[in-house]
Amino acid sequence: VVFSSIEFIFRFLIVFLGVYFISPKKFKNTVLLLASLVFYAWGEPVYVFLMIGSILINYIAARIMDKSNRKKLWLIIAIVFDLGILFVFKYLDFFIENVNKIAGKTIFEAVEIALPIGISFYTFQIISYVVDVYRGKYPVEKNIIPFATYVSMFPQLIAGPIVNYDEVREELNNRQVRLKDLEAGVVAFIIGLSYKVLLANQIGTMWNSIQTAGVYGITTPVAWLGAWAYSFQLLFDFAGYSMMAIGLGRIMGFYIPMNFADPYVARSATEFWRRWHITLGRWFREYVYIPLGGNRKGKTRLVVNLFVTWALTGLWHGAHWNFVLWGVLWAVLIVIEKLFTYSFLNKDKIINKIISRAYMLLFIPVSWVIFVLTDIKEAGLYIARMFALPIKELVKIDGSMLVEKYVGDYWWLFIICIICSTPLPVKLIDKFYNNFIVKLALAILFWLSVYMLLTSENNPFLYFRF
Amino acid sequence: MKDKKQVIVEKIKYYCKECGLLIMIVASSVGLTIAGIAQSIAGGESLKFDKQKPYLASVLMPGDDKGELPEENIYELEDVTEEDVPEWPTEEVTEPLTEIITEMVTNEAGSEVVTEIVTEVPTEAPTEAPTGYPTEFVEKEKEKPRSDYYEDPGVRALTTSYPYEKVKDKYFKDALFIGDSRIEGLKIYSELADDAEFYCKEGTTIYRLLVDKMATIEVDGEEKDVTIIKALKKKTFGKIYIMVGINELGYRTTADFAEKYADVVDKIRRLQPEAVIYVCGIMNVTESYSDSRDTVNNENINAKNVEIAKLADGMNVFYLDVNPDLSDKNYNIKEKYSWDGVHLKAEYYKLWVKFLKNHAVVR
Repeated sequence: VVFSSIEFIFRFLIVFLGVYFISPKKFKNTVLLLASLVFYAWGEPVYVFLMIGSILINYIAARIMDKSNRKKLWLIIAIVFDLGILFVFKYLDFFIENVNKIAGKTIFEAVEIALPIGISFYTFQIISYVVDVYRGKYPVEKNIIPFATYVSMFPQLIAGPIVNYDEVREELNNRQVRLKDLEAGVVAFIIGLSYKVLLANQIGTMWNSIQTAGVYGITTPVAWLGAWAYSFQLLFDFAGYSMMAIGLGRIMGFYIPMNFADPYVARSATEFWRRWHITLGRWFREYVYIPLGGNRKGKTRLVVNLFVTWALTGLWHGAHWNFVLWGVLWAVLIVIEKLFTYSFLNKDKIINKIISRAYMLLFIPVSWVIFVLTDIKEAGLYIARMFALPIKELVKIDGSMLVEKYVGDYWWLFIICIICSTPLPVKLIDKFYNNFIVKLALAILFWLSVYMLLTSENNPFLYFRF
Repeated sequence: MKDKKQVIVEKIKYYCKECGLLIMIVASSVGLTIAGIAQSIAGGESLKFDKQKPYLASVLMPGDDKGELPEENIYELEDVTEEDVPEWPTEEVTEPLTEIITEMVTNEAGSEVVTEIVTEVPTEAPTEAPTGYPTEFVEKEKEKPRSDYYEDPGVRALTTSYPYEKVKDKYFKDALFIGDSRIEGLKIYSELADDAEFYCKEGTTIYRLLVDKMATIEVDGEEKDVTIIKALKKKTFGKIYIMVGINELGYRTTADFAEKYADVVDKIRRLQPEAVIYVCGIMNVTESYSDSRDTVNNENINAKNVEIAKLADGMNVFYLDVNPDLSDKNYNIKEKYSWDGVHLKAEYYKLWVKFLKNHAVVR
């Protein structure tokens, strides 16, 4: 189940919140834990046991490690177990495929294991917990309920943010919900829901429509329109989901960390990654980049460390080479910035501002094309079209017709997307929140989103246009 | 007393400030739920989602009504703006004694000249009514329909058997293509648009085909969007291709579709009595797409295509089915030809064009 569905909002959430607020403080974590397991089992009736197993083993490993003299051994056992699970369920087929390719024959048969939802997210949370306990950042959690609740909490379970245990540790033991928190949570949830339903889903139809023709039927302007449409779809989909998670957390009294901070206004790759999927970047910095030595071991090691970190970041997004390529490309930019251009890009002069923005606005869509087209050859052709390079077998078409069609249909949505990818809307809501009109507007956005969900779920034909 | 009142007002103000949005959402949810329940009790209907009264009560009721025919009163037949179309002549036409056929003939010098061939037409009435070339139907295995929108007719229609000729691009100089996004794709991704005219609109249905303004004509030097009927009154075409029907697969029955399609073809013929009409079988979808849908699947498409094919008379109206040229052995569009399962990728439109060029009626 996703948050942006009628089933979730009007069945799961209503029932859950009712039970949750009625139940006494002592049992609130248990209720949340059970609800989270139900939520997960709804989509993954089998793999829920994998998650429970993961939680139990890591809980026990951390407890033993705490008492043991051989802390490092237990740390390694826990991490090997966690990464092993992740490897088997996410990367095994990818690995087998590549081994077979290198060998030139079928050594192993593909096992075809389905990917458990959210496994990359909760595994990373578990690892951060085990490592932090090892480092003595906070004491080991003796009670399993708060720990299990932390890992499986349904707001962040399937799409992040990746929360560190110390961010919610106190709240797990003692949290308060004031009316203000409820209200703030509802606001965040509505903003996230509208991002997802009203922006991401809508502009997504344009990207889908552009893809139907395939790379051989795409003109340069359409290729850019498509790449930007997908960039917006991904941003509002992901940021919207994170926002909903933050809102749901807030309703229960948790302060889940921010995950997106208007990434498309970034002026350098370095800055972009401080704004995009913040909790993931943070995880890789803390548990990969710094343990590798970070920037403290000379320039060569710095470059190597950056490439390793970013290749892994890429691979985390999916078991395909295009994700690795995508991560490495970001690393190239970040390395160049670290060594040469960062200060230039960040100067406050107008010319620097123009150059740095143009640089990001060109590179971001290109990077998402590599991200979304898992076939690297196809991505290459698409990018070739973006830069008007000739490709073989191109279908000759009158491109103006297509541009007219897409711009004519979607220009207003593009404008809304551009505005919403700046900090402006949230700032305005914040500033004028006491005004009745803002509240009314948010309520309207909520019902509009619900209406869109209803009509597209129950009436698929309303949006069925061929 | 006054103090109490003031306290209450203060409290209300406080709550509105603290959680005004929450109150609004909760109040409107409760309101919509009650309204929905009241409506269903008053109307004696079961709670079922309906786009015209999206009360929350119906949302809270589980139930999946996909694949069921919508109730008649929800959807009206959309053809409301009836424009006048010339009637068929009621009297027998006895006038033409000679027939003039213009042909493009290549002369010895290699250039093409227009030649007029004048033939005498016998004055006495033909002893037999002329019959056109037949459109054949072959048997297929019957499958259980997956929704109320169609029934498997147990047959498949073949392209009208006619001694078609192979033609070049210029055949399409006086051709018109009418249809939905598939025809639009043909317009954008093939070179037919250099010669032919296209009246098409994404998402159109047979019910809206003559209603929407999807044709462009020049009026006093200005381009204007008009209905197809209006455009056909202004311009004359030699051939008219129609492919429509994918969007209404989950909307009204096959019988409704057939009736409306016949009506549309009849109107177009009355407007363009000289034109060859090609009624094209709806292009199939890919196997994975078809399998995952109860309405938009190839069985439903076949049911509609059989009805379309029945309209062909083999003289003026011909049924063309491009599907065999694009399909795998199970009569689904090949997966590699389509990204979304419904539309061809740009580079495969040439297969469709080739089919059309190989199936031309030349009179």
